[in-house]
Amino acid sequence: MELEELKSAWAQYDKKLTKNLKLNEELLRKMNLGKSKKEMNTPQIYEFISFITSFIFLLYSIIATITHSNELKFLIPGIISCLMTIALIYLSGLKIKLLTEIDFYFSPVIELQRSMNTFKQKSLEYKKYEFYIFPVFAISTFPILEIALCHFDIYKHPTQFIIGVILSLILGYSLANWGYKNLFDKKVKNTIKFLDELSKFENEQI
Amino acid sequence: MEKETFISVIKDNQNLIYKICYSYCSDPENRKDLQQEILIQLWNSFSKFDGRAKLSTWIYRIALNTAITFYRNDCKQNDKKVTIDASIISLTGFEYVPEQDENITMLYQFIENLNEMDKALILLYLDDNKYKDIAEILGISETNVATKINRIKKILKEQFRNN
Repeated sequence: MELEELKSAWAQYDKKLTKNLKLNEELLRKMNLGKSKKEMNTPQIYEFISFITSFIFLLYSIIATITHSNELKFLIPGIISCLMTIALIYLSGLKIKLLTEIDFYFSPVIELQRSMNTFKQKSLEYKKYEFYIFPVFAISTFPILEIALCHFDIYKHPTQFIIGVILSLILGYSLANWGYKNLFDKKVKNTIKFLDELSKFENEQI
Repeated sequence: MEKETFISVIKDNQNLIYKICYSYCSDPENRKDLQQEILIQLWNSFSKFDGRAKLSTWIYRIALNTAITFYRNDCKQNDKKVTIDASIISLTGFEYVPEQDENITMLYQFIENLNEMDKALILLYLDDNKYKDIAEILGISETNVATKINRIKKILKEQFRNN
């Protein structure tokens, strides 16, 4: 059967649908559509919260580091912690930038799918950096936060500190490797594959 | 008032939404969720619709984009995302499947085996959209649309011959 014949059968089918489909207007009218808008903004809200929280934390870390800058043992981890936080803020900013560039409602199908999947791919790749930054971030942040918040000098308990550092590094990187491989790796591959399919679809010529 | 206009637009285009949902989701429960998701997305952008594009172009774009995203995230993983109680917004008429002839059943089976983008293309073609409109909705050139339609025609012809 030719596609043209099927097209005509499809037109008949469409007529049948027109006769039989019934929209429940009352339910649609009662539907709290305004409220559901919030559900769709989750990624943006999450990224903004992440950005603001990291920024507040950065300010606090800077103040704590400056306060204890006369002691090298706090100054160095403080600077490392600030640099790590700046890296996290930068990644968060990149994600927000990608999100704001997406026109969710008026882009052609290919363009929107490409933007959304590029965002997804980049987000997942940034997660990898975040996972690997985290153990060093935790080790460097701990001494400065402890002294600033609880006036507790971790360096006066070297055994605990060394055990903490070793555990953070071993567990942190093992978990980061395992987590990324099991939670995100497959998603990244699928996203890249789909982006490749979109590119092929867009460029197919006679 | 805006809601009433929206309802009227949905009523005029319910066939389109139905066919897209049916083509992208074989599971009836997932299909309900997809219908909800499409309605929500349409409503979210309804106030921003300024008439620069045709109304049908706007509906197709949103419905197809939502269906593709849903198909990739939810239908494949069988993981529901929509949190609204289905009974509130279930569209009773949408549950009814008119007696389909054999060709339509086979056509749906054929569409089911296509990838996300080809599904969109063949649906637009079957709905008698012009190549120019298909190109505008999908964001590709008219030549590209023609090439793809020809390719799909060949596959379809082969498949119907085998059946």
